[in-house]
Amino acid sequence: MDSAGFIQKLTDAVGEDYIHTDPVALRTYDCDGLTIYKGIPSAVVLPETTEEVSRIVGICREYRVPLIARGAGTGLSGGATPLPGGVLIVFTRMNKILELDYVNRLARVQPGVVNLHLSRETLPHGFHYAPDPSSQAACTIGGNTAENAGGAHCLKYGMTTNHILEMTVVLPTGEVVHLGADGEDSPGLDLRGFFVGSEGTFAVITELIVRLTPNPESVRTMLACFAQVGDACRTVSDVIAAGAVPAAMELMDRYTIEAVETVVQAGYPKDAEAVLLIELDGLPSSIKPLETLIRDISEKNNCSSFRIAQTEEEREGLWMGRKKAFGAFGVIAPTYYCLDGTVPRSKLAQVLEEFDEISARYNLRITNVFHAGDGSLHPNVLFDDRVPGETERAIECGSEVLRACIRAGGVLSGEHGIGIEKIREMKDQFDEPTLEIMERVRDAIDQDGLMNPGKLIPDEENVFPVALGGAIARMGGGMTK
Amino acid sequence: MALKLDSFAQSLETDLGDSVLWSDERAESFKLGGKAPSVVVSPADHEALCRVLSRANEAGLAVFPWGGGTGRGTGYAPERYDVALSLERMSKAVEFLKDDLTAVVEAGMSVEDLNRLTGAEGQTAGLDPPHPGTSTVGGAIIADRSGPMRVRWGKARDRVMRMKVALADGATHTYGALVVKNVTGYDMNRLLSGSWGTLVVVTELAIRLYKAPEHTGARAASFSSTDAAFKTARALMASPLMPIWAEVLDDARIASLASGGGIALPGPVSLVASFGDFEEGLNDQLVRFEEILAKEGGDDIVRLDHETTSHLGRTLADPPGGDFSDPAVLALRASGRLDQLPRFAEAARRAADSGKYRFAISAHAGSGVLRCWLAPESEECSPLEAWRVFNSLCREGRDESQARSVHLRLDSGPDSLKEQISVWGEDALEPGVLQVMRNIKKTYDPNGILSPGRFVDRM
Ligand SMILES: Cc1cc2nc3c(=O)[nH]c(=O)nc-3n(C[C@H](O)[C@H](O)[C@@H](O)COP(=O)(O)OP(=O)(O)OC[C@H]3O[C@@H](n4cnc5c(N)ncnc54)[C@H](O)[C@@H]3O)c2cc1C
Ligand SMILES: Cc1cc2nc3c(=O)[nH]c(=O)nc-3n(C[C@H](O)[C@H](O)[C@H](O)COP(=O)(O)OP(=O)(O)OC[C@H]3O[C@@H](n4cnc5c(N)ncnc54)[C@H](O)[C@@H]3O)c2cc1C
Repeated sequence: MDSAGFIQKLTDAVGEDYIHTDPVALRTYDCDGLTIYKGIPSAVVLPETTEEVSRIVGICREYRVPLIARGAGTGLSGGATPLPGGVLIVFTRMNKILELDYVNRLARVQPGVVNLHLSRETLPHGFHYAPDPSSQAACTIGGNTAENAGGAHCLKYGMTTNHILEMTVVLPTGEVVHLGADGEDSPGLDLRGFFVGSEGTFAVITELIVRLTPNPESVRTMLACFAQVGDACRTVSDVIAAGAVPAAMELMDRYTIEAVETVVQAGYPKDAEAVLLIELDGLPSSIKPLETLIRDISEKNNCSSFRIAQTEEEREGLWMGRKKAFGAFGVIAPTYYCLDGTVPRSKLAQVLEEFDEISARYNLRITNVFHAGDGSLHPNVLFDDRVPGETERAIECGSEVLRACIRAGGVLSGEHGIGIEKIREMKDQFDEPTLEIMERVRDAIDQDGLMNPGKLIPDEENVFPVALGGAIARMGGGMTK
Repeated sequence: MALKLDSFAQSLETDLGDSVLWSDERAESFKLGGKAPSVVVSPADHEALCRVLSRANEAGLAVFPWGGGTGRGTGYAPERYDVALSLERMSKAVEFLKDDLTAVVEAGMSVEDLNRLTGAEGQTAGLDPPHPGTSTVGGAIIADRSGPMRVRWGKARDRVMRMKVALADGATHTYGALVVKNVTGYDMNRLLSGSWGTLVVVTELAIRLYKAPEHTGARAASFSSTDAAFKTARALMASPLMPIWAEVLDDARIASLASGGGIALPGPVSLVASFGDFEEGLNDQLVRFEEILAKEGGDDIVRLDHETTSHLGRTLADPPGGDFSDPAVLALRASGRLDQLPRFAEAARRAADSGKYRFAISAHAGSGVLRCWLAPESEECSPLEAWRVFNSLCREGRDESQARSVHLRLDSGPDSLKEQISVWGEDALEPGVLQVMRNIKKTYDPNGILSPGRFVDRM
């Protein structure tokens, strides 16, 4: 390949200030939040418009060079990690809010808009953007869409897919097209729904129309503490089965409580085996009976204490513990591996017991802090990456954790996606024909296989080796999980 | 073709015996676009259905999956039509996991049976197709049939947790799992929900359920114009209230509800919205909705109790009866931003006028979807003229990108009209998008045996 010619064309497409090719600069883009796999791209480009993206895709197609989109790189499954030699398209410059239409409750944004920035803009007008991944201060709406990201409040408000009305994408052919519409219906197959969560393997997103949600009128936050994890899990199932849909319902286990209390003193009782952080939002009149219902259910399931935040300060304190939990693990272990298997709610207690057993077998601690209301687990395998062989052991341990989720009728990923991280386990989740059709459909959309290859579907050709000395999850500055 | 059919029939009979019933006498009642199939086949279970498909695929016979047939008016006439594949014998509940709010059912179960099953535990799937006694769960999902309740429960495709499907060649796939949050691999369930029998045959579905609100109620008010009613609906949607449905109805629609359903709503235009909550929350929501109605100029407020609200909810999904159930009726639909609804309503009126039709309008005012029915008023009414006017006024004065974002569809109408227009509104799709759809179709059904000719771009 004529690499000089290739780089020149890319330079012409975005301007010389917005392309990086020197090795030092390239290395800063070698992985996302999953640092165990790394790849150095041949170039990093920072386009400003859809047209520039389309030109980049056209050039990559002409030279048969793979391309990888990157938002903020907070992904935890290796989605934005470049296949070595590929071109990385970074959306930092495409970070504008193009239209705020409160009458129709929607916003038109570029994909590089940081999730929280949109809500910050709209909150004073009575609206917010509902999907709230814990990384929302850093992650982008484009990255959220490609991963179909979730968050604590998705229990009530749905995942990213429920909030995307239309996306402008550049297809692998370089064509710019629109999927979905700014109303709810559009003709033919639901390509909008199908492209959300496709991890950048179908197309590059260059613009989005998203739904805005009216702000709740009131919020109540409560903490229920339990001496048995099983009791906390049963409370979760019972609350949902009773028809209560809290805005959020987060479970933290003993190790998490311990870590959190060491770092921030959120006021979680240290002798509890589990705490449930429950948030209700809506009209005060709708919330009040729910509060009573949830307290009754918690008590029936032997909660040792039940506390409702009486002030905004107290409420923030309760959430602080949850938000700092991941950072706090750093105090009890050098590093950790965060998984996101998901199970039916009624199986929560059972899989947590299994995790204990796996933890003992691997001699690695597993902590749990997760979106319990929708069965969306976050088991964290704590380990020391400086100890030879321990990283590999943590990966194996994680793999067992995922298989336990599958055995319980669950899935590999509820939020973070497959990326490189869980690609091996896809064969545990799906039989051969199902994986094959996914691959064939992908080929039908990306005929030259240039869109983020080596991700999501097991791929013999494009394999990412484990990088030496790579910790599994690297928490970026200011991010809280 | 006759030969192919004979050997298809023979091989099914010898291999499958009673597990596949076979009839050519019933073919007339499975007509689509004026064409009857050669044969109606009803397999007893998934395995038998897969065998039917693989044989049909080998013989190159065109197969149309058939749920309750309530969607038969939608789409182009079949390009070829050999086999109606009826799901009528696959209508059982497989598993009802009430603690997980999940029902697993065969695709041929009627929506009414599903409602009965889940209702016994106070749960609901939030599916509201017309004729729920006939419409099947599989059909409602595969058509992504989303009615008035979408404003609360989302679209039909949001209900699907897991799908078991048969491919054109008889292979079996299962997508998804019994979890409410899942990003494991591609979202095949969304790809298939709304694929109108062109990609796979669904045989079993796991449906996500919600606890049905114990207390519901509705309020209606009259407005002097549809514009004023739509504006009030937007105020409702910007408020913290959470309606289950919010409909704007014109006088013809109001009259049809009075005569068909015995429900009296105030005219000439009504905005009616329902809410569900615990008792205290419900009362509060209703009072606050009344305040919005009054503030925006609504009059003659009517209060509907729990029972009337449920009854109206069910009736709203059905088309207006009387003249409006004639086969020559045009059922039109437009979807876009909420503030486009007044334009759509005006387009419907003018379309009716220029095509010499009587009309009735009903809009999901919280979702930006308007439906209207045009019933012929005289011999010389012109469906094509009506469609043209509707089409151009809905999109008038908009640049290409804005025009694309308005979605129009002919839900049903005379076949002669369908031959002349873009029934699914696919003329608004860019060539690249259509190409992706065609590529996906080819991947799933390389021989083109599933529902050929019916769906977008006659694919
Ligand atoms: C008055 C009226 C209004 C309607 N309004 C709407 C509307 O607003 N929006 C809308 O989308 N539809 C509408 N429909 C159509 C209908 O309500 C829906 O399509 C749906 O509820 C059909 O269910 P069914 O079981 O009757 O399916 P059918 O009518 O039998 O089939 C519908 C489609 O799904 C396919 N299909 C059915 N079962 C399966 C299966 N198991 N596997 C694969 N494919 C299958 C069929 O091939 C066909 O393409 C309306 C129908 C009527 C009569
Ligand atoms: C501390 C922390 C907390 C987190 N909490 C959550 C959580 O609560 N819920 C959750 O779901 N996730 C969470 N995550 C994971 C991560 O933040 C999300 O997956 C997020 O959506 C990634 O956004 P990003 O902008 O960083 O995307 P990136 O990591 O840059 O990319 C993610 C994927 O999207 C693709 N992509 C990015 N932009 C585009 C585009 N414009 N077009 C096409 N493809 C594109 C990439 O190729 C890649 O496959 C967390 C991560 C961290 C580090």
